[in-house]
Formats: sequence, C-alpha cells, structure tokens
Amino acid sequence: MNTKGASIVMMIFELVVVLGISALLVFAAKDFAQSERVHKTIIAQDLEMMLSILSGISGDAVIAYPQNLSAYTIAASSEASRGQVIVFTEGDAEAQRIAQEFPLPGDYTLDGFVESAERLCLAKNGKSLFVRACTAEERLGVELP
Amino acid sequence: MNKKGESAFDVARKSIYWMIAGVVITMIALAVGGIMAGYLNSLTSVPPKLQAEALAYRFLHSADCLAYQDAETGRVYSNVIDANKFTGEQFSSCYTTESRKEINFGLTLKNAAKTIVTNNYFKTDRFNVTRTVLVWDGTQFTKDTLEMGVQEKI
Repeated sequence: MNTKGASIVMMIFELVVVLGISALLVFAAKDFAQSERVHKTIIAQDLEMMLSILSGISGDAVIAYPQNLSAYTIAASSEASRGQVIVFTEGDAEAQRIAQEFPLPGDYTLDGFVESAERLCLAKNGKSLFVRACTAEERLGVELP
Repeated sequence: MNKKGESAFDVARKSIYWMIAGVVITMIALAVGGIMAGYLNSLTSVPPKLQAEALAYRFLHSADCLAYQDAETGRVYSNVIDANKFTGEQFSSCYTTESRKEINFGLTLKNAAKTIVTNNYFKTDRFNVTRTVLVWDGTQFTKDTLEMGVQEKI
C-alpha cells in the first residue's frame, strides 16, 4: 500500500467531512433562524381554533385575524364534516405547506382562498364559513400591531 | 521507527479516529436535530385545554349541537342544553373525529345521569372540564352539571 497516497486521501476525506458538517449546521441554523415554519404553524393553529369557535356561535358573524398576513396565502376548504386550513408562502413546495384539519358540525361548509391580504377575515353566514380578505369597512378602526 | 512505519501507523490511527468520530458526529447530529425539533414543537404547541375549549364551544352555544333554541323566537340559549338533543346521534352530527388521535369527548349530565360520547372516545380522559348548565326538558329548566371528559391522542 502507498502510505503517502493513503495519507493524502485521508486528509481530503477529513476536509470533506469537516466542510460537509459545517455546511449542514449552517443550513440547519439558517433554516431554524428564519422560523417560517413556526409562523405558518401558529397561523394555521390560530385559524383552526377561530373557525372552530365561529362554527359554534349562533347567528352570523365576522372576525378579523389580528396580524398582518400579507406574506402568506391561506386556503380553506371542507369535505364531509372536515375543515382544512392550509398556510403557505409563494414558492413553497407541498411539504413546506402547513395544513390543519378539524371537525366541523354536520352540514357546515368552509371555503376561501386569500393571497397576500393584509387583513384576513373569517365569516359565518348560516352554516357556511368563509375565509376572505377583510373589506375596507371591516378594516376601519382596527390597528394592526 | 522508520518513516514508512510511521506513515502506516498514522493512516491506521486516523482510520480508527474517523470511525469513532463518525459515530460521535452522527450522535451529535441526531441530538441537535432532536433538540431543534423539540424546540420547534414547544414553540407551536397549543395548551390542550385551550384546544379542547375551542372545539367544545359549539356544544353549549350552537343550536346545531346541544344548545336549546326557542322554536317561536328562534333565540338560542347559550349554556342551556336541550334534553331532546342530548343523544348520541345529535352529538355525532355536531362533532365527529376520524381517529383516536384527535380530541374526543365524553359528556355527562350529572343529575340526569346521561352520557353521550364522540365516535372515537374510549374513556381514557386526560382531563375534565366542568360546566354548570340548565337543561330544558320541554316543560321546564333544571340546573345540572355537565362534565366533559377530554381524551387526547391515544
């Protein structure tokens, strides 16, 4: 065996391993620092709970989400007494989208697709729930933090 | 030792070193991944009681669930249970889960000694939520205690 050659190969291997681990940690830390996934999860959970409560009130109502959601797209739908809210940003792959599912009362429906709306409103009209951008009137008097 | 011998020893030593280092690095990477995942979960976790309250809100406030609605005026009385609606069938139309991994409820009216449960409820409550309610039996209101057993992810 050529020991000098083996030593060089070993050195290259060490270098590759160190660079690989460093890159991995940098990417992981960068991804972690952005926390985009955390924001999307929190928004999806908030919307799920707000829609659950909205489905439980008697009569019609509109409630506004108290955060600026212009960076996000919200898709809401329902099928067979199951509501689903999906939160994502432009360019997100399927795996990066955050979906939250929850039970809806019997014949209730949920619908809506909102893209880059500063203010998001959740509305109940009879047994229909909607996710939509707030109208100018609904935005009045409510300051975003 | 001659130079050739030293170099062979060096290669062998490094091979052993990297074998051990490989195991240690893998363990560290797994630990870091686990810590990050745990931290992310802690950032996004919702207190189970809050989630259960949000889901259970409909039970006592919606006429499509258990709340009493005056047939003449159409007014819905929050925290008043219509005894005729306190059935498994009505409860299923109000709240149905797909699996036992979701939140399931078992509702008991203490004085009336009636219990209704959701479709994946197996009496393994994580906690209970108690409410004082009125029950409308068609002729009069009676005071009762509603105990909601909350079962989570089993």
